[in-house]
Amino acid sequence: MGGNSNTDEFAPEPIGGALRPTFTVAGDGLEGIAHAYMLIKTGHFNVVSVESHGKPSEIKTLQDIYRFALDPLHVRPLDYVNPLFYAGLDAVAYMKRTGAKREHLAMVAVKNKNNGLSNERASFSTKLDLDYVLSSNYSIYPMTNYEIAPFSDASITFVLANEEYAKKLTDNPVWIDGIGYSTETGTGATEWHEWGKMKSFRNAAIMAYKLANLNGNPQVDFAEVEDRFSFMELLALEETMLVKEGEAHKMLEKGDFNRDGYLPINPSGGSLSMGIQLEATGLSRLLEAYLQLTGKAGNHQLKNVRRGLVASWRGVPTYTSMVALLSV
Amino acid sequence: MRSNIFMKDRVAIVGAGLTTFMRRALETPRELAWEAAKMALDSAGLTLKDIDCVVIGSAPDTFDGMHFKGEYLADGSGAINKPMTRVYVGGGTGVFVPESAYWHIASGVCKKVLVVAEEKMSPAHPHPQYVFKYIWDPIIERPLGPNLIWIFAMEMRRYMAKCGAKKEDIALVSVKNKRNALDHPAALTAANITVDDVLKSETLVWPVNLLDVSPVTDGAAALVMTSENVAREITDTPVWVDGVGFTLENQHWYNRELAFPRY
Repeated sequence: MGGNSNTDEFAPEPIGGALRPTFTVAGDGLEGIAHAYMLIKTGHFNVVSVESHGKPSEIKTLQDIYRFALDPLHVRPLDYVNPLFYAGLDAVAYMKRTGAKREHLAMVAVKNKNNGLSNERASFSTKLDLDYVLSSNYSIYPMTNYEIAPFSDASITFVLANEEYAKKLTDNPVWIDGIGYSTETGTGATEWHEWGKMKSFRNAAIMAYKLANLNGNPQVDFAEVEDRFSFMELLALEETMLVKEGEAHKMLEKGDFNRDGYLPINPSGGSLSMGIQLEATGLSRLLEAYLQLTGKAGNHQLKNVRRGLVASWRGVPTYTSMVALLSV
Repeated sequence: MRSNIFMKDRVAIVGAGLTTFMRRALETPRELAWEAAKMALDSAGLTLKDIDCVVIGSAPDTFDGMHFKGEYLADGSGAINKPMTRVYVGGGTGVFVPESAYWHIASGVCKKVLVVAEEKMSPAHPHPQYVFKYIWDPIIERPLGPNLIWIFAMEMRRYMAKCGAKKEDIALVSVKNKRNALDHPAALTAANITVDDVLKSETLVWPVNLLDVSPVTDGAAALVMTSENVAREITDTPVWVDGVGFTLENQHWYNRELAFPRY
């Protein structure tokens, strides 16, 4: 997406990959972490680094790139549809299923945009109140511009190591207890998607919890989850089984997801505050979770956090999601 | 990379499928992928229900004219509601996909993996070579308008000069391989040719002749790979993956020794 074909061939020197085993995972950065996890688990590798970057500011024709992501036979001929309509359909179906109101979607944006004010990486944070969002025009029904994350540029790198090396390299490693990823259906077969749900989140979570020897709710202290569309935060929380189905909007209303609430969600401000860095988005959620768990989150540091969950989605028009469970 | 003598799961190949390679296939990329995937599943005696992970390999998006190509191929590759990942390393992707499947299994994360590689280059008009315009460094190289065969030509020329190989010697590779493929049902350009035919074929970029290079094709290939225990249940004749390896060279081709690929 950065305007270069064969992106892996542009990578080696900047990330120290020249004359080393280096490859590209065509997916969200969290999928790269899943590969690194597996590489280390084979016992062949001690230390693996994962880099992901996105530079949407260089893209002149984002609409055309989206167009090329749509099914060439059924959707592309519809002449310049706004591909974000997929998210609008999902949002409406989600609201209908759970009874969440338009106000709840706006509340997510208000929470995250304000959370971002104490995060130095959150370029799109702003002081926002509910009335202001509700009185704005719809951008993609039922969401206004404030409920759709804008784009930003970033590059994020993680270094993963096996237990032996991790203990040599640092005194406070963050452990990956489990990681999972899943695809619900292909972009050419969106008719098989269950609207208003995100089965890929559920399957990814089940895979991650299984690897962590857990069954169901992992009882995390906080979570950094997908929020490029406001309703996705609520949906992701339900599908990863952190909260019961249909409960997310009620908990949000009670303030449970605030930074001082019972289960802080996106204390960093999420993608609504930090922006979408294309495939690096998942890693920016992971980075914030890592900072929280190691006590390096600065102004938005939570107290006494030992376990966190990260969930990311590849964005419209895909149905692929990734979940990682971390602990210290 | 180090050896691991305590490996939990040895990795085996238990099924394979391959479509006919052709120019301008009528099938969509999803259909090509499924054709190969179905053959692989059938040859292993498995169905999609048995598969717990899918690894897809396909070169960068632009060749098929599809953005998010892994996502597009997901249903054709049988990845519905399954962990699906797409990897690529440029031209080596076809060999790299089973390598990626290797660590899915060797790590103990997956037991039965469907491996699918697909490429449909014919939608690029007038020729996929134009897509290669975008593989060059946008500041230093792209303004010169290079194409891929130029680089091959320079590598071939350098190899000839350094190793004392003649054009006739190199033509023998084409003669051997095209002849080997005469009985191969999936081959596109099998032919019984002579060294002379190669030398007399059109010169693309000296010293590369038309019959020295492989043509653009559409096609897909698939494998079913499993852990040792599963493989023993499925077949008496699994093929074992004893080792895998992959390396990337440096970023700019002109910084490499053209005659000797260190990678």
